[in-house]
Amino acid sequence: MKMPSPALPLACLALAVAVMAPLPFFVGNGTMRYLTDLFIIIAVAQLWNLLAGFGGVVSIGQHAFIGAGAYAFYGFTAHLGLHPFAAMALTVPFGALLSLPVFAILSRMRVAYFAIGSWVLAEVMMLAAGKLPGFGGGSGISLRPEIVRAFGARTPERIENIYWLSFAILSLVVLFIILVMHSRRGYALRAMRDNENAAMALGVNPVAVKAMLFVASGAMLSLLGALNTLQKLRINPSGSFSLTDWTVFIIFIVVIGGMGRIIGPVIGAVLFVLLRENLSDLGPVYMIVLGAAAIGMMLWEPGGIAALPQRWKDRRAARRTAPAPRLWRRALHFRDGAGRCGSAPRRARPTARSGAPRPGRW
Amino acid sequence: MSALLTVSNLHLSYGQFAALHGLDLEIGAGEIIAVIGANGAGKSSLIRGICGTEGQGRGSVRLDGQELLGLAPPEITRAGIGLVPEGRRIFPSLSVEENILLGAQLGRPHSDDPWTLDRIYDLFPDLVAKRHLSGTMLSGGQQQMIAIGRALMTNPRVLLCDEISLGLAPTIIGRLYEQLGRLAAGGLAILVVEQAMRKALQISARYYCVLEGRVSLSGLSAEAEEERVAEAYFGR
Amino acid sequence: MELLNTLVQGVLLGGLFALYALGLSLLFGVMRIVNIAHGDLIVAFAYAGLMVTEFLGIPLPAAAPAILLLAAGAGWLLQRGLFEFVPRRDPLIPLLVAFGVSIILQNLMLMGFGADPQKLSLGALEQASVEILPELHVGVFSLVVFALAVALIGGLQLMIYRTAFGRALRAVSDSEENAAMLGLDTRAVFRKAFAIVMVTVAIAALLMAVRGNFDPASGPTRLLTAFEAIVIGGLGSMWGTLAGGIILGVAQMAGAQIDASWQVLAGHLVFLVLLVLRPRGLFPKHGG
Repeated sequence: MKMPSPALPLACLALAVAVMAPLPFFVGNGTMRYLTDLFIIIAVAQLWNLLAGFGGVVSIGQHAFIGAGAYAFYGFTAHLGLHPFAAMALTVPFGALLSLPVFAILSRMRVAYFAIGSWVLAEVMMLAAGKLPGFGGGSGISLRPEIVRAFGARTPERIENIYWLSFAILSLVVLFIILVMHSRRGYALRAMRDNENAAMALGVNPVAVKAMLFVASGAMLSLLGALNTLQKLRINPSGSFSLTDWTVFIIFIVVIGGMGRIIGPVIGAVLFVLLRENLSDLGPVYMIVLGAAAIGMMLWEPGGIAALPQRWKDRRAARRTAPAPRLWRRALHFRDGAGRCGSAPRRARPTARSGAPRPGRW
Repeated sequence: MSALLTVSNLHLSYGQFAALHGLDLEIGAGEIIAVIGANGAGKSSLIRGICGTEGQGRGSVRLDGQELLGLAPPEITRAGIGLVPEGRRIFPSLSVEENILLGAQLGRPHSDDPWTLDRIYDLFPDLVAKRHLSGTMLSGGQQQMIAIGRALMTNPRVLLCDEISLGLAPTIIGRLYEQLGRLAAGGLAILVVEQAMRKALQISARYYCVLEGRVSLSGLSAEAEEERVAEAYFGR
Repeated sequence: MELLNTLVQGVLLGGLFALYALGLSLLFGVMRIVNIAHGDLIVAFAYAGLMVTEFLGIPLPAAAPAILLLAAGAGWLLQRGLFEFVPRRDPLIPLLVAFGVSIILQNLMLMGFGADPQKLSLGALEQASVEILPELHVGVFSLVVFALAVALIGGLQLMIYRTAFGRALRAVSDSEENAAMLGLDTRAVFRKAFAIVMVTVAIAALLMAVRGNFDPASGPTRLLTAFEAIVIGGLGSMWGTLAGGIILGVAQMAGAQIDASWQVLAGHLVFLVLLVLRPRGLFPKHGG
């Protein structure tokens, strides 16, 4: 087995930086705000994908860290009187520290229960945020103008700076994921998605790796939460801890775009933002369409849009090798569901199409 | 004697990987046949092919004229194929008795001489005292008795026994095979898959040696020459 | 007296919470699926009850059997039409499919019924109360809910441990692969199991809808409550789930004494504390 080289994803990232970084010199404020939104969404989606697609850890509570980051940023500036830049930088260690006990509690639960457990914790944090003294209670509070002005005295200047800031953070997130996934730990992680013992054999403790990913993603989500507050100019429990914006949409974005590949969240987020332009007036119908698309994608190709080229390539290859006529009903579908995670022995089956996203391809 | 179960030209593949390449075999009522072969020769695939649990098959598996190939496992069990699976597969959440009764839920509903719990306990008296314990708390030999009892409760016409001697003490194996002999005398067709060649030849009327997904040698067990069988077994 | 009253109200509320949890627990036990849409299904059947009583004008007790039957059919269909096609080798996939179902249901209900809170009425029984101790009044309806919860758990236990179908359920729960290998029709077992789960969902839904307000976004709260009751009680133990529900009910009632906004938070906090202290629940199933 050989380690895939990180050269291609790194080259793609460098190309993206080369195109996106000078963009403010060419496009207007509206486009920049639009792209800033997109960058934040992609970054949050990348971090969810890092946990679910690469780590096999599904969280329905990542909005907790976005909200916590926003509240921490407000607290650091308004109550501790820190400079906004320092406050923003501090949300990173804050998020990391917060995610440690969260992971300690959640790691007691298996995959599916982990998901709901994370939701409970997010709910608790949101309710607690509404009770914090000095944070505006249930209705929230606006950022002070001088905090916002620190990122640019005039609006156009600010939009430009926040654009660069969010793109820089997105690039760092992607760089981090590329480097992690091409490290020994990342390699073990992919092995772990199939078999925890394989990871152990590689000398990597799966729980420790998951913890590291969880903490890293919590730290970066907090930073993104603070950044997002600069766009929204306000903190409040239901808005800052928005389940819909930061978990529901994000999950749909990753599932449709492609779980387990770095390009997946990018595809999903771009598609999402384009669809939102045109369909968000439809309200509930938009959500229903997204939900149905995600279910359809999970059933048809769990690897999402990003896996389609590979799927078509596989199919062409399979057609060339002329498979034996299939007289039997498809192997009973319990084959795909050996039950509880990891405990049932899995038969090595050399079938071409597996139900899970193929990790290891970007 | 016309055959009860006829497997002819059976091919079985799992995706790109083919495990059986045209296997032929017959069992008559009241007959014990042994299928022997090394690991990976295709013995388990034969069982899967008959039971319909896995893989894509081609060819024919007929039980008393009825084509089984293409049926789902529940239909195959109801048609009269009883399986004693490799590794026994006892359900830990079910008591000994419930494990056996589960068989009655799966099998042929109409049978002239249906198996009952009492008849199973007559066959394996060891189980009576332990019938309310969890199935997996019993010894390996007793678990094998549960697995056989469970398969019998489906009122099978053909009993498939996959590696029942694996990991058991010789005395226990002897007793289990003794009971199988009695069952065959009652008219049941029994197919025994074994890795232990000598044992298999002792208890069977006929044998099939499987190598690389085909029958490499077959004949009457009593006339089997050990050297030739070994050759067919290892493929030298 | 105040204290005792809170305690009794909390215990009775726990019965309702246990009812929320039964279906979720059963589905996980049999199929290893955590149905994220569970709470939304409860709310959907509350709306079914609303349609029958408000729009068709049939009183709830008369309509209930039909609604339960409808629920069983819906469960069978949900398994036959959707979850049967969901590969379960990777627990991620069913989880995310259920998540999609949850969002779809919430928005369908929003489109059909609007965001306003609704409630089912049951006439005089709702207001009736009995004095069980001097100065301690308990609502008759709450008692009925609790009794139904106990009866339903007892019934399910009998089904699981005393019937042939229960044997099949436990066999599948132990190992779906082995059960199918032996010729058990696991698909049929799953369809029936989902139908039974949905009957418990509908029972919980109707009782919930009489007890208090609900709206299209109420599902997740029910899901979280059900989940917490199961985890506190210990996976796979239905009486444990009742105990978990009671603990949550008492915690919420005690929280509500401080301030209405503390009710839900208090329940969550007690859950987290218990999760840290007793990660396997109060009544873990031995061995498994």
